[in-house]
Amino acid sequence: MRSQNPRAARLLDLIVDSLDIPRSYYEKASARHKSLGEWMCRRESRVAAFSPHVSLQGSFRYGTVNRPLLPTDRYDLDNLTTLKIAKTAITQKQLKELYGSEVKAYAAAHNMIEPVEEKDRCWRLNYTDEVDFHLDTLPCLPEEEAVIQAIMARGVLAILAAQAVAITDRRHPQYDQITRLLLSSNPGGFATWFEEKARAAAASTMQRLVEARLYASVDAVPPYEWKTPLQRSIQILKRHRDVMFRRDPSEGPISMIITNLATHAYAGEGDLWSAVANIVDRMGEYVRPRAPRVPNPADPAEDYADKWAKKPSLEANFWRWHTQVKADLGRLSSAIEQGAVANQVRSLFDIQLGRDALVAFEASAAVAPAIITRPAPTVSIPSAPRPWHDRT
Amino acid sequence: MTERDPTRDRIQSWRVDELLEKYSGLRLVPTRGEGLKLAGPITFSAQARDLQSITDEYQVEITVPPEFPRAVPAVRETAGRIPPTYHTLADGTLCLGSPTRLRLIAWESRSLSRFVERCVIPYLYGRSYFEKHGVMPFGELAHGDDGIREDLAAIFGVDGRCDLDDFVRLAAMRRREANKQPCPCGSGRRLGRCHNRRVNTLRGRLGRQWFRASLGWLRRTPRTQ
Repeated sequence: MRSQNPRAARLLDLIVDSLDIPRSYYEKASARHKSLGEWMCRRESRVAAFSPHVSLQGSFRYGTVNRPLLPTDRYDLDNLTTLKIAKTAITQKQLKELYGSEVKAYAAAHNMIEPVEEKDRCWRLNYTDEVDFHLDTLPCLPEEEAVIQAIMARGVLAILAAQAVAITDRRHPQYDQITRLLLSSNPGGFATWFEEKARAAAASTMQRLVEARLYASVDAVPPYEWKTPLQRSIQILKRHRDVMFRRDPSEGPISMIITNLATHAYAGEGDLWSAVANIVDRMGEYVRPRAPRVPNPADPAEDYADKWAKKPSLEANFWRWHTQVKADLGRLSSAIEQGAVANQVRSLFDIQLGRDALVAFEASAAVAPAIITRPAPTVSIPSAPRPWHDRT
Repeated sequence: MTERDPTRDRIQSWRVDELLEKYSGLRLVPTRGEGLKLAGPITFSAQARDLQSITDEYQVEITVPPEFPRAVPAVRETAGRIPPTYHTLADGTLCLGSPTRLRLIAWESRSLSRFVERCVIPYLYGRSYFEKHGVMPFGELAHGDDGIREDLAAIFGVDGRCDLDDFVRLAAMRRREANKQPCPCGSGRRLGRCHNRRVNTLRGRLGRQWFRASLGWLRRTPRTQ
């Protein structure tokens, strides 16, 4: 267990502050997602009869969104629309198209310039205004009771298992046939699990917001308002991943793997340094030796690392990243001792800490740090191979 | 049934954490291949025997093959400080030593930071020393094939009186068979009762195949000196 390191925690807080998006972006994301939900429920909607239930997913729900590394990158917003239709009453293709027709109508009614894109599982709406988002909206059906019972039989709590859904996938061999064999997924159950784990550390913040009458009850406070060291740790880890894999982003560990493992490893640490350091120390233990390698705790059959088996470089790069982030935390801590924070933060996170932030950080030291450069490792050479040349 | 990821095991057994801690500028580079690639500055302070201590920094890229320590990492200097006319191979990597010597050191090192300490730092120290004084602190091997022959002879402890090829031939044979052969030192005893330890240790570390290949090479490559 790593002990607290208040200066390092303060530095990590500064880093997350500069990764954070303005609260207005969360509000904007939430408004767009709600507006789509209202569209689905309006009287003329072709899906209104199926009691559409729209829920926010992904990093906007968890409160772990980072400013993108490149200014041209868009924010990803994910939501899920559940339509109360039996699996045996509709094909995946019909469901996808039925929902797609409403998504397209929504885009047209809102004068969206870019066309709606069809992805394998979802529809993508591209927003281009002051904040560039794309909203991936995923149609799904409630999972059958037998499937939910089977998930519970694997030890999942009923409250999580009940949120399982059946999703469509264009690559499914029976995409245009009636079948019970739809892919099962449970993003809602995962989010509930995540929120429960994070919530414990957020009790005092939530209470304060309720007392300030900003929210009616503790339950009404959205996760992005009660940012805990868990969420902030995930932001740090995702940013480190983005910088390390900037030349080949598709090789980096996906955010869901980082979020999943970090949440498992988080033990309610109250300060950001001990949270990140302990998460990094322990997260590798939650990668299972065999499939499912990184299961969804709300449905163990859903494996966030399912691509590793077909593409082993993804797993190799996960371990490379994990080793590097562990070493970099040590380097960051040494940089603090040496008063060389700005360079290290720039190289590890591609963040230029402002002069004010740096001054405030340095002033937070009880004693001004002595400017010492870390000594280079001393190597004594008792004997050495003689160099050679392969060309005469 | 899934086995543990080989990269995860390699990171552990090669003690990559120790290397990253000692050389705090080095970073793991993501790749789509096996093995590891590290890049960044190596800063060191080194001293050889009674020579002066030198503190210096080089930008390097180290490519570690998945077979390490049975194969040798390739090292490049990436800031253009070491000219190709210095000890580099035709592919631009640094020639840290003769192939057999490097394989032996890799085998003995096991950990990457040991390998760096025993091969990379001495090379870089040698280069810095050369820049300052115009001489090589550890001497250098003859260029090309003669250098390989020279170092192989040193590894087998062969002097001018006996034949290097015979020693290499015995290292390329199975142990039991080799021990029955006459010792190439000319003592008149069989190897098993004479220089068996030296030959058997080298065979044990690098394998018969390596010496079989070396023997083939020695036979094809006549001495020029």
